[in-house]
Amino acid sequence: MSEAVAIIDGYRTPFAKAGTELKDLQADHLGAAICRELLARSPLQRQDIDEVIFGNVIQPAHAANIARVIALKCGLPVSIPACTVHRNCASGMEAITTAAERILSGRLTCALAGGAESMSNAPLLFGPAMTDFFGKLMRAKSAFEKLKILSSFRLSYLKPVITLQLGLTDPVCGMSMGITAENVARDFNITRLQQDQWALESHQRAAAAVKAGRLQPEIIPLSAGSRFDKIIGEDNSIRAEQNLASLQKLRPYFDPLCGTVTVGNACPVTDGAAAVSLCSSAHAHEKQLKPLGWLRDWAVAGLDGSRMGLGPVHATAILLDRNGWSMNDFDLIEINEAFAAQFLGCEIAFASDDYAKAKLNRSVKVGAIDRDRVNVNGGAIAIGHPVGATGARLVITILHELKRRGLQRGLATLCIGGGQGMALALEVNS
Amino acid sequence: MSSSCSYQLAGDHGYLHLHLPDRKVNVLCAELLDGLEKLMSEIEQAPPKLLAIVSDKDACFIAGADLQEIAKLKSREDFLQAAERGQRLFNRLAQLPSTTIALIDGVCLGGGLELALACDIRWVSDSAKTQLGLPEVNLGFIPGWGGTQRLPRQIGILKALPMILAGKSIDGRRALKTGLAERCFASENFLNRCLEELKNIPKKSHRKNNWQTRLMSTSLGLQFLANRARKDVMKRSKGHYPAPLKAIEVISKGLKLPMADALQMERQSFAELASSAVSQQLVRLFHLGENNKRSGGPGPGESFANLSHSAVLGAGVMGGGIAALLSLKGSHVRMKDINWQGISSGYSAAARVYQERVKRKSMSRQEMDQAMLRIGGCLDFSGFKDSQLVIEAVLEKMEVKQKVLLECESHLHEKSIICTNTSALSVSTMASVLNRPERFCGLHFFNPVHRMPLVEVISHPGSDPQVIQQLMHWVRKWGKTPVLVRDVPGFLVNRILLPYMVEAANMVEEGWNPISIDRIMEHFGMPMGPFMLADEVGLDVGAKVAHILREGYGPRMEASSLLDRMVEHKLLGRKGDGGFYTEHKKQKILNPAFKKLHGGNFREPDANEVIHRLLFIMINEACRCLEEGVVDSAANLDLAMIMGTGYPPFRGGPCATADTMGLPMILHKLEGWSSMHPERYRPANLLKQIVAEGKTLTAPGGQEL
Repeated sequence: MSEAVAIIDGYRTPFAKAGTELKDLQADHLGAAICRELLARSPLQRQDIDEVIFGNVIQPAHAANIARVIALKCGLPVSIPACTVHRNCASGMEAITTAAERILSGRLTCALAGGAESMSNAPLLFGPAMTDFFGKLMRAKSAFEKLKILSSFRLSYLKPVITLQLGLTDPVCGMSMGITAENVARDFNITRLQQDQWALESHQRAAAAVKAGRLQPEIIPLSAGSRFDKIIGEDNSIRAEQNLASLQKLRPYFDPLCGTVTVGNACPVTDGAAAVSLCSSAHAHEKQLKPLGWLRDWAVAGLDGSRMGLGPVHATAILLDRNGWSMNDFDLIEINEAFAAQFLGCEIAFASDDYAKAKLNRSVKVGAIDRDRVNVNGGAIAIGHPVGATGARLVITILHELKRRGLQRGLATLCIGGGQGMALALEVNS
Repeated sequence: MSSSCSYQLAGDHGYLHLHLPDRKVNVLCAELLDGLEKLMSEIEQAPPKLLAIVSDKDACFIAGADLQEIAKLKSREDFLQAAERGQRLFNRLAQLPSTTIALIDGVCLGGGLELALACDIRWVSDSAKTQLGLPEVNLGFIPGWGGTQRLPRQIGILKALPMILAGKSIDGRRALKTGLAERCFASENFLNRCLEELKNIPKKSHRKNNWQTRLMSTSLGLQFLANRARKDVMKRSKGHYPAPLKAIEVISKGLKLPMADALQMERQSFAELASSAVSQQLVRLFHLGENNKRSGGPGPGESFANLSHSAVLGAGVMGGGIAALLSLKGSHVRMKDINWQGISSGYSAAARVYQERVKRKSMSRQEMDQAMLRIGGCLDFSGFKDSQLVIEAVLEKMEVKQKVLLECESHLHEKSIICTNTSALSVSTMASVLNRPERFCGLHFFNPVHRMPLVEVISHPGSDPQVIQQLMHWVRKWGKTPVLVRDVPGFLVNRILLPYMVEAANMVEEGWNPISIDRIMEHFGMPMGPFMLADEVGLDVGAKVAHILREGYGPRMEASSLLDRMVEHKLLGRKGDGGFYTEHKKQKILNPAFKKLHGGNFREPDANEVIHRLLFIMINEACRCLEEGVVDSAANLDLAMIMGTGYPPFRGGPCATADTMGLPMILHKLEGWSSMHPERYRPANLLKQIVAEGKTLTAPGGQEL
């Protein structure tokens, strides 16, 4: 077991459903705003930061290497380098572990890491037909030739390519993320009712957390709107008044004929950003910092993309084996809820000897998870899932909650589009 | 090199170098003109094929005429002679058989550009410091060395007219686009590149004007253009400034005349304007502004810190406006308030300021987003640890301010400077509760922050002079004019302005018509009359300041009871349901509620009477401020009143107006009135003393009181 890395502080913006309150802010703006606030509250000095590492999935065209854009816009000196990492839905986590790796190797002492995503601003593209049309038109020499090409125009050329939809489709197996969740539901015989019940549970837990002010310490309000005339202070997709009946009424979205996954039992498309500051344990001790918590270890695993939702089981198995832990060694668990079916599938697979034998090459199950310890303040179905940011959000959420409850160790794990899973072990005391 | 200019011949290339000794920049002073005239005779003997004019100064071609020398000129005859001399020299340059070329890397303004225009060709650098323009109208006269004639002939009247009327300069790239320059090179190796290109002597350019310009250069076109420009100028200047109008006339008429006649007309108009009172006030004001910019720089070996991190307490209209200013100038700003609603209004205020700039295209939307991103709203003191400067702009209540300042102090670095933006409360009283009073002082911004150029920097007995110097430096960096004042009730500007407002209210209470009073003062040159201004500021704010001044200065600042009654009846001005005025069908009319309160029946006042009563009480208070050393000079007092209240620049400020009107007459009037109201009108000791000694408050162009 290697040395732990200190997570000094962590905050996030409120999460807002795409197309709503945060739609006017681009991903780099969201990331820079949260880093600005993190720095304002941090015991670390600006010049102490050695690198900024950020995760982002959509990679906006106006902000190539978005981490560098964020670093400059949040007020860090130009001398501090920055790089962007991409591990799809786990990009925010990947940013944290990349920073941790560089700290452990001694190349960095302090770093900012996190994730930012504005799914509202996923662009629409012209399709190949339109691109071809433009190309021919540009090359045309005579007026007659131009006219000829112009006359070949068809309205259908204007049909845009929706990059968001494209991004949420596995490019190898060709299935949309929703269909992979349907696969998991089929494999484990998860019913529509069970999924809706868990979605309801997620909203109820999140609503209770909001009501008790448990999410407040991790959220920093943000000025938004095209005229910056609104202050957004809370996640806007949590529905306290959600009931089962209205969830049951929704039509399956991805497989309208015989599917079970609806927009109600899936996470919403979301805008938001989250960031943490990290440093080596030596630095934390030397400066007598009081870290929010520690990153103890982590693992990543690959699996069949058509069942990508089960990634957490695979990654967690590796993490446990490497450290000689069992599931009982985690006081709290965050499993990202991309879909209720995917979460419930993980729950079953974690507790299944058969699944362990068939897919994990181990004789016994990874270990059952206790519902009282998992996603205690609700999950992405309620809070939302800005893909590049969620990984960092899970780390922040679980550390705040562990601290509040006076507990020690937590597991934050996530399924990744394309067929991967990632799992982080976090601790309150080093 | 002790001579002002020198001439070298290399083959068929002649190089005329400008290097006025003992100055950072070249100006067309007597010394340089002497030198040029001498060299010109030499060159005329044996003109080279190519004559290039080069400046040896860093980032400066020629900054213009020498304003110190101009300030010494008095009569129309003096100015006429000065104009003739320059015109003659530039004509000789223009008539040389050589191909003449000006190589411009740096400032090229006024007479400098007129010289460059007398050349056949101009090449410029792309440096931001390369600025070409004719700013003369800003000083109340017009270009007098051929600029009004050669510029329109070079770039066409359509582009020349606005350039001369606004007095704004353009950079190298714009100069190339407008046709003022023929080539534009990188500033870093400008001269080398020019010399390389000059191996082949360029041809004299003959520009072909486009059809619009040709159309507008016909008699009919010129007439149309002149009419339109005149209307535009009248709208902006209300006819108080004759120079732009004269410029329109000289340019539009001159285009149809032969050059010699046109130049004669130009210099006649120039001499007439430059010797006028308006111009003398504007030239003085320009010097006051320049002195303000130059004074208080870092001493040798010293340097001032850049303001990279700052904070604002209270995100109201003022707090938001200040945050917007600081962020615009590149500082990261924490903006604290007691609730998010407050912070939201601060953000909105800042965004409005930026949106205006985006609309005017002086800022891109991306720059706006970044500027907004530099402002971080918070409820706690997060981020204050890094702040070099904190400006407090919370509620105008002494207890509240003291509490907030003391609390804030404990979150700051010990080197941080903390300031209060108060309009009237005592800075010393606030300082008394602080642990580091030496790093505290007042910084009084005027509303709206982004428009008003004045900032009063208020010292108190315990403030550290170095802190004051640092602040003055930052204020200048923000593009504002700092004036250092002592901590007395109302500070400088409000203390002088308030008696004027109160006197206006007194006159209305006596039954004089407020609309007429407003009109008379607008005609005098004020941006708006006293009652319109009271409505803008808010009568409650005015009444509050009035009470603070009454408390501080006793019965002479007794506010008119009319103001209090209006506040009681909720006639608060524009922010409420109207004050003296109200809006009716988008027209300002006298507020019926105010009429009812007042009783009605207004008499028509005499214009001179109004001006005397409203101004002399102000001038009297200004004398008291000078006497008490609230501000160091009449010069800075005038500057503050012009920058802070919009006092008409062409009147030169209260002290200059007083000198123009005659101090003995003012004293006489005040003494007469004081037999009725001894407290209100008792003349200041300084006024009596100066009149007894036969002196004046100001001395244009020279040492001032």
